[in-house]
Formats: sequence, C-alpha cells, structure tokens
Amino acid sequence: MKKVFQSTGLAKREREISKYMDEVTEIGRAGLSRRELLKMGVAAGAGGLTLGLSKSTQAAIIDPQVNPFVSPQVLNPWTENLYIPPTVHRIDPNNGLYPAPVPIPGATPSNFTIAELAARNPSSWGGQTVTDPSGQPLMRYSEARKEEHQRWSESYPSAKAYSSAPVGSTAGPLKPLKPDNAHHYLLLAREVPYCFYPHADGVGNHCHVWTFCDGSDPKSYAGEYSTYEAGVRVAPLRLVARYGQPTYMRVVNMLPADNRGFGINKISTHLHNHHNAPPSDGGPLRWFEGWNTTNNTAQFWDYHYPNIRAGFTGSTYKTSIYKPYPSYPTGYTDPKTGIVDNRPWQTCAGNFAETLSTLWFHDHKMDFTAQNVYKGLASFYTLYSDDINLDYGDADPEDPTAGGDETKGLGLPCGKNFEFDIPLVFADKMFNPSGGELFMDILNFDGFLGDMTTVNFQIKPKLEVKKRKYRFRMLVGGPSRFFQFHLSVDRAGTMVDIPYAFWRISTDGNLLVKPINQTCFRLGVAERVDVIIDFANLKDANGFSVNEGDTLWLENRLHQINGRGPSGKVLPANEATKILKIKVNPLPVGEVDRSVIPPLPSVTRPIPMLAMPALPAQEAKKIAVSRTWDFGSSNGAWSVNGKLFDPAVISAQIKPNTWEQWTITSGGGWAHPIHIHHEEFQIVSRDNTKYPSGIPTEEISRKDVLRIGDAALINPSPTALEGASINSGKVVIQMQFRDWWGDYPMHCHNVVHEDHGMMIRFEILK
Amino acid sequence: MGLAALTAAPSLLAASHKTHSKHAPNATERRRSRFLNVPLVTHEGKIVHFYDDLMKDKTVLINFMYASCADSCPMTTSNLKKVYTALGDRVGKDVFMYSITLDPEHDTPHLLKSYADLFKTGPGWTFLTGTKDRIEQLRANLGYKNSDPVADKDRTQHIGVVKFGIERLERWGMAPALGSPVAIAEYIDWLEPGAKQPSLEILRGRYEDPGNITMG
Repeated sequence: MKKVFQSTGLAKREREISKYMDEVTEIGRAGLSRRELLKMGVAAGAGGLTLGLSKSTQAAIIDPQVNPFVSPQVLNPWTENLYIPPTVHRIDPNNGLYPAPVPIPGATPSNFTIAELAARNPSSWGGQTVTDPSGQPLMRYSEARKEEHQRWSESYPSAKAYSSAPVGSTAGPLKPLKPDNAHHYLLLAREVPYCFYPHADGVGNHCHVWTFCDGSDPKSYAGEYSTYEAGVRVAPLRLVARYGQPTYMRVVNMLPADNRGFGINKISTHLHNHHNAPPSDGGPLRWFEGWNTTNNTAQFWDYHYPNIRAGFTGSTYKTSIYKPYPSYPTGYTDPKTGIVDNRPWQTCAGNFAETLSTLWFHDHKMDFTAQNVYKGLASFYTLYSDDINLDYGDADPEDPTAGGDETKGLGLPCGKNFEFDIPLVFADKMFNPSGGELFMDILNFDGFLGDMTTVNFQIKPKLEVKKRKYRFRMLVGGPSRFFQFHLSVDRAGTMVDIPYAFWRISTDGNLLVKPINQTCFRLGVAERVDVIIDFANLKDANGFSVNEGDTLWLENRLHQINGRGPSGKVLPANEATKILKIKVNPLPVGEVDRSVIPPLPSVTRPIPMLAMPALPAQEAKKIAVSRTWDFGSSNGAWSVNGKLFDPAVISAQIKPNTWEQWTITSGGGWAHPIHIHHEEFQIVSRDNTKYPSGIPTEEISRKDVLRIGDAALINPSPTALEGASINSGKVVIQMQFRDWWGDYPMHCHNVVHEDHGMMIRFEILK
Repeated sequence: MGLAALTAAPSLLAASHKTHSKHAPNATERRRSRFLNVPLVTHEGKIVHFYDDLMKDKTVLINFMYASCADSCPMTTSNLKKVYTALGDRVGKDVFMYSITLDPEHDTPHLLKSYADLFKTGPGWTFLTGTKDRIEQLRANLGYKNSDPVADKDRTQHIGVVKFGIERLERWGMAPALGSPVAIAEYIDWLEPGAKQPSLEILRGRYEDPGNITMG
C-alpha cells in the first residue's frame, strides 16, 4: 500500500536545495575540504522534514537480527561411523570419456546427452539404466571451454592403451611410465539430498548439498539421488592420481537454477595446489552453466591435469614434458591386453623436490566461491609419487596388482583400499531449525561461521581405529573458520592431552624434508597437513599409554567468534569443539604394521625424504622483480593494494622462468589465509625476522597458502591461553614462475573475503 | 543480538532448541525473511516498503550515498549514471537502481529530488531516505556494516560498493561503485541463467600497473 507524501512550502525549499546542490558541486570543483562541506550539509539540512514513518508501517518487518538461526541440536553424537571419501572410478577404461577430450572445442563443440553416453558403453554402468537427472532426456551438455589445452601434443595421451608400469620395477630411482596411460574421470556436479546429522537422530535427508558425484556410478544419475536412507553417502570424493599419468577430469554441471537461498549453478572447478595451465586451473572467470531447462542445455568442462612436477621445462618452454627413459628396455607386455609395446619408455620430468601429495578441488566461481563451496562442491585429489619410489601408497586403486604396499617408498601408512590413509575435510555449517536446510548469511562481508563443525560432511561421527599407524590428510574447507587441532584421551570422563601425538609429514601439498613431532597445529582455510598418528605409541600428559579400548578426541581449540579471524585465544580441552571421536581397537592377529614414520635422524631408512628447492638467496642474486601486496579493507569490502577485484585487470605481468620476491602485508584486526595459484612459494621472513629463525618449523616448506594478520601463528612459549597466538603483519616470500603461461589469481581464502574483492590476477607471459 | 555473537557460544544457545522442526520455509518465506521490509520515502515523496515494493521479483542495484558527501559520492553517482545508460531500456522494466542515503536526517526527499535532478537520473532509479533507525537497520541488513565500530561510524566506508542481484533467483554480487560502468552492467548479465561468460578479452585481461614493483 503506497501513500503519496505531502508537504508544504515545496517551492521555497526546492529553491534552497537546488542552490545548495549547486554550491556542493562548485565546492567539489574548488576542492574544498569535507569538513567544510559537512558543515554546509548540516546547514542545508537543518530545517529537514520530520517524516514520522514509524506510524505508517503496515507490512510485517522481519528483522533477521532478532531471528537468527541456531542449528538444531545433535541428539546422538558419536554414534555413526566416519564416512571415508571413496575413490572415484575411471570412466570406461577401455574407451575413455565420450566424446573424447579435444584440445580446443571447435565450431562444433563436443557435446552429448546422457542417453548417448549410456549407449556408448552400457557395461560401464553395469548394464543399469542411466537417465538424465534433470528429467529432460534431451538435455544436451556441451563444453564451455574456449581456450586450447596447452602442450596438448606433448601431453595428451590417448585413453586406449592403458598399461600399468611393470610391477617391482626397481631398476633405478625412476619408475618409467608409458605415455599412453591417461586416466579419465567423469564427475557430475549435482544437487543431492543430504544428512549431516547422525543416523540415529532420525531426521533423514534434512537438507541439500551441491557436490561432485562419481559419474561411473549409475546411482549418480537417479533423479531422486537419496543416499542417506540407503546408508550410502556420496560426498566428498577422492580422486587418486600419480605423477607421470595424466588425468582427464570432465565435470558436468547438473546443478539446478533454484539455489534454495544461496549459491549459483555456474561453476569453475579449481584443483588447488596443482601446477597446470589456466584452461585447467579453474579460476574465477572460467565458469560453465548448469541446467537451462527452457532449451535443454547445460555445460561441461574437460580439465587436463598432466601430473608433472613444477620445473619440467627447465630454462626453456621448448623442452618436452616427457623425456625418453634411456636405460629401460623396450618390449613391455601389457599384463591386461598382452600387447607388446616397443616404444621407448618415458619418465615424468620436473623437479623432484617439488613433489606434491594432498590437493583438493573446489568451486571457484567469481563472487560465489564461498556459497558454492559451503554448499558442498569440494573433494580430495591425492597425488602419489611412486614414479620416484617416494610416496608409494596405492597409486592405481583399480590395478589388482598394486595395493597399498607399505614397504615401498617412504613406507607411509596406506593399506589395501586406503584403509590407513584417510582424508578429513573440516568445515563449519549452520542449519535452519525450521526444516533443517543448510543456511548461510550471504549479506555478511566479514566472513561466515557455522555453529556445527563437520568432518567429511558429518557432525560428530566416530572412527574405529586399529592399534597401528594411520595417515590423516587434514584439510580446512572453509568458508572462514581457522582451526587448531589437538588430540586428547578420555580418562574416566576427564580429557587429558596427548602431547606430541602428531607426526607431521607435510605442509599444504608438500612432503616435508623431515617429519615434525607436534602437539598441535594451526590451519587456515584451504591449508592442509598430512600427519601420521601411531595409535600403538601414544602417551597422555600424565605419562600413561593409550591402550585398546581408550577413547580419543580430535578437537579444535582455536577461539573464533566472527568471520574476521581467530581471537588468538586457545580454549582449554573441556571448552574446545570436539570434532571426531576415535576408538582404539587391537590390531587383529596376523596383521602387521609395516609402515614407518619416515626417516628421522635416528632411524635408518633406504628412502630419504626430499630436500627443498634451493632459494635464490642461498644461491646467488637471482630475484628479477620485487612486488608488494597489501591485503586490507576498503569501503566496507576487502581489497588488495586498496582496490577491489576487477575481473578485467591483470595486476602483474611476469617473465617466465624468473624468480620474484613478494612482500605480503596486512593490518591488524583480521586474519587472511592468502592463496596463490599455480606456483608455490617459500617464506623468506616474517615480520622482518629472516629464515629460518623467524619462521615456525612447519613453514620451512613450500606452501601455497599463507596465514597473515591476527593470530597467524601459534606462540611457541605462551604464558597463558590468552597469549597463545602471534600476529604477523608482514611476510616476504620468494617464488618462480614456470612451465605454463597465462593468468592466475591470488586471493584471500577466507572465501567470503575473496568474493568481496580480495583478489588479483597475475599473468605469466609466454 | 547479531549472528556473530550467537556463534560465540553455540552450545549454550543450541540447548534451547530441541531438534529439527518439520516445517521448512518455502522460497517465498525465505526470500521475504532475507531483507527488511522497512518503510522508506522516495525522492518523489512516495512511501514504499523496501522488500515488497523495491526488491520482490526484481533485478536491482543498490548503493549508499549522502548528498553532503562531496569526496566520492558525486563521482559514484555519475559513474552509476553511466551504468544506468549501459543497462539501456532494462532499467525501469526489470532492473531497478536504488541509492539510499546514509544521512536521512539531512537528506530529505526534496533534497534527494534535487540531487537526482542534478545528475539527470531517469525512471527506474530511485533515491531513498527514511528514519535514521530504519536506514541503519537496512544498512546492517544489506551488509554495509563494519564490525569495527570506529570504521562503521565513518560514512565514507559505506559508499564504495554497489550491491546487485536477482532477487527472484536469490543471486547476489557486489562491485566497486567506481568500477567500469560497462563491466558492472555485464556482471548483472553474468548472474542471469544461461547467459554469457567472460569474453576471451576479459580472460586475457588488461595490464594495470599497481605501482608496487621494484626491480631486483
């Protein structure tokens, strides 16, 4: 209902106002100060009208500040087993993706319908019927990518001649691989009914997630993909890759326009920490569309992950990715096909010291990264380096001859079907108590915190472990919360710390030079750590051993009450957020733990961990260019060097094969986990204290996420829990730019900050 | 009590909620609950309700300004005038622009009318004022709020960003209010279903030296 507001004396006042505005304009031109202008503004408004609006209100006013959500309570915590992210299966191993990946989508872009896909090779789906989840059988998916895959002729292997490397090829330090051995995967980005609460709570699928589903699984196509009632969860997933074996990952966008309150069905899948070309980087601008049910179209994107270590081109782009392996004999017989191949073997190039292990892929759509990742578009990408006999694991889970042999390489815990190599993604969520749908406050620019901490998309699950070593790959999935992980044991209802429970073997995606024994560690959004916990050798703070039957708790003790960052306070055990309950069981008779915590100074192992790449400062003066980047706030949004993200702008042009030194700064009052795509950096100094004394031991590593600002670091000698953190406002890093060319972003991985301006793009020139 | 305050002690507050209720808000309720439906007055002297009259089912651009701000508001407004032009005949049809004053005690409807006339704005672009309390509530509701109280009091901290969105689809983005007008109009296209994606020209980008380089 609208009313016309009436007033008297209009003509006179309008003249005054107009005169005032003319003055303002003139004053603006004359460059008078704001103080003077404000005075004039006050003068002009002194006789302003009193509107008396409070009485005219007729429609209901709903103030969200008096109606905030608090998630429904968990009634049966610690009753459901932890969901372990399953490995994605290769799509149609005989033929690969249909249609086959192409270097560049031409005038007639590659496209398909689900019916055509199913007809191509029904055996892939076990003969089960596969239908389009949209309910529109004619829905046609075409590729949105406009740019050519780089180095296609060097790195595109056909999918047709899969051949595993010979078993036990210990002839040299390198395990050679065939060039024709790409693995193809089909992922469907889908809306899935989901339950984060324990099964025993009986709330069923109370909400929906948007997540990646394994396209080789016929269940992924069902219209009503109801997973929980069947006792099967579908997300997150784990894609297993290995160096020297290219991965083709096709992501099909099956997301609906209806977002249930937040998110957008335009996605860009970023493989976080990987070293590859912009068309496969999944940056903020390279998105593709979900269902358009008016014309039955949707889009997909083929990501090309060559799985080559950084530095493979050496000093020139001309060098080939794969080099002939000189000493390996020709005439390899494929164990599956019996075909003898007489071409020379090749090896995976690159700097061995830049070997990665734990990566993840997640949505990166400009302005919507926080919403879409919070909705569930995140999964693991674990990269094995059995080619150099290092992180051996189970690099090809579908090869029956392989199988998580823990006596090879570094001897890290793995086991058959990754029983002892478990990825854990931590993310906080909030649920609408009315109906239980996932809730996000999208109008809050500071950052969003949920009141329910989930691990692998579950609230308060339990994990039964055997009394032996496990490898946990821990990832903070965002959007805004920082974590400090501790492990404690339940002693008759009292929680007792377990000091030095974690053997940290990586920082972000990088295996460390040597493992670090830690009581706790801090992670910002998108940071990762691989730890080994030896459940057979844990002692609590009172010196008592952890035994069979004991209950352990994985906790987050970092205090944080808003999206700007942690307060710096660390909570005592009884006030911390318990995330996962771990029950220690005996190691079954006949099972032996052959894994090791890799080479400690006192332990002799044949395989050393890798040295770091040498910094230029330690070699000679090689820094070509130094740049400064200030992460701050501007006009109520988040900025880099005072500017909000402009998608059309490149803020740095970098010569290939050069080193640069970047100084990252940030004011106080907030914390930012800064992420740089494509190339990793090493920290040279923090707050003017140089490497290595000013840097925590775990940061003496290559990294791709940098914590800066409030509570960036753990205080190694706190006087009280309040003094548990150190702020860090200035970090100097060094990095080199190699191998691929084009644009990549640098941004804050508090993804709410990223979506509200805190991002730039840099370009590696060709 | 704000959301942030609540998350500080979720365990205490959660105890007052037993468990899931069966009633899920439908899309209409959800959309309505996101924005305040406060009464405002337009520069033409009409009383309108923010959600019902200005937001519901519309594609909108929203910014905050005040008439006595001479530093950047005039530049912002003239830049938004270019956005207005770039949006073409969509403005007033399915796209609506709202400039809300941060200084309602001084920015009367008449003053805002003069301000609009000064910039020769046209149909589909409304300047809004209201009571101080309502405007402050609305500012917080729309996220133009700094959790640092000192910065929050500084009006100039709330004028640099234009928020835009498709209310019907619950898709919201933001851009610098002084950003390229063509680009801001394009961002709205990028929110639309099945619409265009960034051109190769944008992907390649245009180098702008931030002045942050030293050699060696």
